[in-house]
Amino acid sequence: MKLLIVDDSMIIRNRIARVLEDPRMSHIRVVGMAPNGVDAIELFKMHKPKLVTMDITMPEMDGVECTEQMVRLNPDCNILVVSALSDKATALKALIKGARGFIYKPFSDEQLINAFVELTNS
Amino acid sequence: MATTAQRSVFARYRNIIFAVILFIVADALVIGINFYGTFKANESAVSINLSGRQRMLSQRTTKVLLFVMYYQANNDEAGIERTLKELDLVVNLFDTTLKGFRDGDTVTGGDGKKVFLTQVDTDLSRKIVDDAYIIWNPYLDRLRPLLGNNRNFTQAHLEAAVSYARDKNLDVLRLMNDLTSDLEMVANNRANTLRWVLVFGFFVALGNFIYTVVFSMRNLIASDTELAAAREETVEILSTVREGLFLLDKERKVGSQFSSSLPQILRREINPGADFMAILQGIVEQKVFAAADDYIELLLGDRVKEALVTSLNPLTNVRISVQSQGGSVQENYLSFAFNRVLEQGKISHLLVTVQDVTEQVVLAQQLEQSKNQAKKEVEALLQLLNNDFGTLQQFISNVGLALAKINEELSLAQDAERNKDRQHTINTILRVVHGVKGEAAALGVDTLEAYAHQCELDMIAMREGGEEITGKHMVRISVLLEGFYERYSSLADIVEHFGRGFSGQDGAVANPVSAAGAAPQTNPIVDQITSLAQRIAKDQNKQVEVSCLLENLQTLPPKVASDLQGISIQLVRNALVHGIETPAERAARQKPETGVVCVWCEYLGNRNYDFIVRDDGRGIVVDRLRESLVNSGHLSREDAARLSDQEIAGRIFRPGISTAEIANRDAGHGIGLDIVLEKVNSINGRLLVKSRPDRFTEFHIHFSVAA
Repeated sequence: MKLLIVDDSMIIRNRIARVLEDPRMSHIRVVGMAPNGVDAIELFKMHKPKLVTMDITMPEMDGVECTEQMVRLNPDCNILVVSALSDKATALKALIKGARGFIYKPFSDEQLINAFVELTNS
Repeated sequence: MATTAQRSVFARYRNIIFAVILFIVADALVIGINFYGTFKANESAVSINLSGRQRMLSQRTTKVLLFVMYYQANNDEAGIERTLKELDLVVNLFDTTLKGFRDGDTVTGGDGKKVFLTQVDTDLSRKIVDDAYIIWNPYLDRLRPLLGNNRNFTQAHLEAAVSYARDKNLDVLRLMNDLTSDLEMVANNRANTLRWVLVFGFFVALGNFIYTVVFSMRNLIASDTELAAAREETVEILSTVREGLFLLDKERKVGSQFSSSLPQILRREINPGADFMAILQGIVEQKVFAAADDYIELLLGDRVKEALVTSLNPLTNVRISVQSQGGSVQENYLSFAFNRVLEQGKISHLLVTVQDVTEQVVLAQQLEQSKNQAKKEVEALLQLLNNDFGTLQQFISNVGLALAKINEELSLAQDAERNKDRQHTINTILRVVHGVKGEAAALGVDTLEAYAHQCELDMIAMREGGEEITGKHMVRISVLLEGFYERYSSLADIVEHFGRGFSGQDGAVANPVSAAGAAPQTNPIVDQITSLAQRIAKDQNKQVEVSCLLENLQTLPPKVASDLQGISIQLVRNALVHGIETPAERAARQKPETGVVCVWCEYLGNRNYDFIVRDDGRGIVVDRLRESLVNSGHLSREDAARLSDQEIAGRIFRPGISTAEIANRDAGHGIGLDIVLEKVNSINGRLLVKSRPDRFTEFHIHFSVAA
């Protein structure tokens, strides 16, 4: 299953990618990482990933708008919002726009793995 | 799961299913038998009809033979021909019909159409048919010459046939009668059997019906009882559970049943079908309401994963405001939990659990406050440990004296004659408090500094509130003083313990830091001034270097040294806030970015001293001071314009004058220089102020010490 990681922090992008090295996540393959919404949309069109992790606060295009565009391009994509937002209302907006789940930053390996399991378990 | 569900449905309705099958089978059986019976009845009807016709045919054969004989006697050829043709027909019919009775065969029916005649199947009928053949076969032999197109008969043939017919006609008639009777009896028997089958079928159906009704009723009663018990249990749970429980449908309406604690928790009447969003809107802030609306929409939809959004529930520990009957607004904290309820795999409702978590939230807040308080106290203690013990003791003593002074002022204020001068009382107390604040700041005793600052703000608000100062204000000051005293006591306790821990056998106290041999002996006043200056510089985003030469202070009487210490604290504070510019400002004026404040005490001989505080800042900005004097109402705009710069500068020592743009804990209240003047007077000193714009400000105090 293809995954696109969207976050303006390189540390967070690498951290998510590292968690996916867990044997339980062997079915998930990272196909791209984007530091902002604009690049993310390009990569999304190119790779057509089934899974996306989405930051909210990003330069150029924020996570809410990026989520909306991705869902418009592929309504079946599974977007997991990963954010440090203390403002729940903004995170909820991303979910209203079509994301399927949310976890807080910082997260433990187990939290992220559980979120992926929950997300990919239809 | 689906198979288990199907199995349980089958077990539940097994008896009804059997009853239905039995009903269908019994019906099919009855219908089958009926169908067979009616078919047989039809056959019987044909047989009876044809056996009756046989009687008629036997009579007619005889009659036709007699007519042939008659036409023969009268030589009526046409008559003979006609009757012989009839004889052909009649004999053929009788013969084929009889054969049909014996073997079963298709014969011509009464209406000329072909019908199937079934073989007779009773012993009696078979015997009758056999008997009939015994008569009929010879009869047919005698008739044969008269039959067919190639008939060739003589009178003898005719007479023989007629004679036989006369003899046997009645026998044949009787046999055919008997056959008819037997066939009728068979038909009757069949009709009777059919009737009984129908009666049996009716009773089977009736039994089945009664069984089904009884079974259904029994099940209905059992299921009603079960339902009633379940309802009773639900009601009991809902009436005893402490949490608010209810189901929320897709229209966001409250379900028909909810726990009796719900209205109490939400502090309003709740009716089944009530609009939950309207209830929510009435008790939470608009922002929380909007987020809750989104959250509920997400849970009622099937796109998001429930487990992955619960952390976003905006109705966790949410503050609600409810107006009580008395009109006052009561604040509580509630937590709403939402869980999806599925029916056949589809989300049908949300189960909502509401808890009043006010107690927990308040406890958590108190815990947080306590933690902060404890942290502050530890910090304060650590800060205290940075100071020399003698300095601390001096400070505690000063604060004690200050509090005594305030107390004295308050007592005097109660005196009727001094009542009119309460403004003066407040100013005096303010000066004392400000002095304590300065010393506390210099020692880094933040808790006392912050409290003194708060007291100052309160009293300035009283002074400048525009109201006449009354006893009410004095009471308020007394309350503030009490708070001050509490803090002073706990601090004094700490210092006392601290002293015990570090005091030597002869009661001499060593500096804890130097006692450990970690740092050289320093002048505590210099440390205080330096650390205060650095702290204020940091707060004001300025850079400063402090240069102190205060060894002479140690040779002075304690009272004078203490007053000079107080003066230096106020003046250094002023220098940092008003004099020293920000690095950017200084750079713009071609000055080094780091400002310099010098404090020194010089012995001039003959017990004469100079005490000087000088900074290389912007000097006294007379225009700003003039503006401040006008704004604070100390001078009219006309007077301010009339007075010289020197005269204006001379007013910096008046209480309530400040040029600081924003009042904070370091400046802006117009108290500091007021204290300086008071302390200069207290040591019988002379104060001179020198200043050059953009260059420096210098406070020069000349004093003598008595022998």
